Amino acid sequence: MDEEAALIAAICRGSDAAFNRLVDNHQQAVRSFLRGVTPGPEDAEDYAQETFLAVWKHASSFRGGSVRAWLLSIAWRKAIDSHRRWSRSRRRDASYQIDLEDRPAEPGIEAVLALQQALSTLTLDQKAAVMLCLGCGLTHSEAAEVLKMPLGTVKSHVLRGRDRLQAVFGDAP
Amino acid sequence: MTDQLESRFAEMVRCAAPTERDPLFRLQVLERRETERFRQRSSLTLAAACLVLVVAAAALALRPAGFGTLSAMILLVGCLAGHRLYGATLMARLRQLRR
Repeated sequence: MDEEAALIAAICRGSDAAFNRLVDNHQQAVRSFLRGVTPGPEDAEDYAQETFLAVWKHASSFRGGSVRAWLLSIAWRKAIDSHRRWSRSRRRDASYQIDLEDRPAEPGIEAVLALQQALSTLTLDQKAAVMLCLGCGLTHSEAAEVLKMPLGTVKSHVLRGRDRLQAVFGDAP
Repeated sequence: MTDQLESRFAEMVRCAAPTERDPLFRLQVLERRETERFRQRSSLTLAAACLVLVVAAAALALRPAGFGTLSAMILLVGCLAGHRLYGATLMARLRQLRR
């Protein structure tokens, strides 16, 4: 059993130390991914916390393989839910607009907003595929496993996403 | 060109990423976990207390003379629920005071 699987086994037995270690090891990847695919940075933090809570509650559902891919697939499901809720609330209140100046002055917020701006022309699936393959360094197969999509679909999302990014970066000064 | 685009995007993701070690984030996760645990424990205890009281009320209805027993049972259930919910916190506070 590798170290990561041993951590999950320890979490199943209720080990707080193992849980802390898992959070420390993977929080950056999970939060980075969610920052690219959720509507706002606050949502990304919220869903990252929920991802780790889900791990604490359902650690026994881990079926082997890459722990990071498993965590990212949970985060992806949270992101889809978040997107649905966000779309619904936007429809409910069409006049609602997030004023960028009203956002809290979190360190690095400009970088997060720049990333979201760059990804804004992509569909949710394309964002996720691009974030995983180009941002988090996963292979197409790993991304397909995380997103529960066929490999060809992921490749196509990455290709189209890359084209759109090219257009965005091409327009940028 | 593609490599340039990918490295530019990767750099953007790297800049937007949180720090590798973030104890504050871990504390936020732990806080939410404890809140969740407390909520679960409270619901379970409340459900158990209700069940005991329903049984006690039914017993009282069958034997009206047992009012004293019912009062004692309510007190006992209250004490047990309080112990279950706040026992650990209370003991921790007592240990802190003893130091």
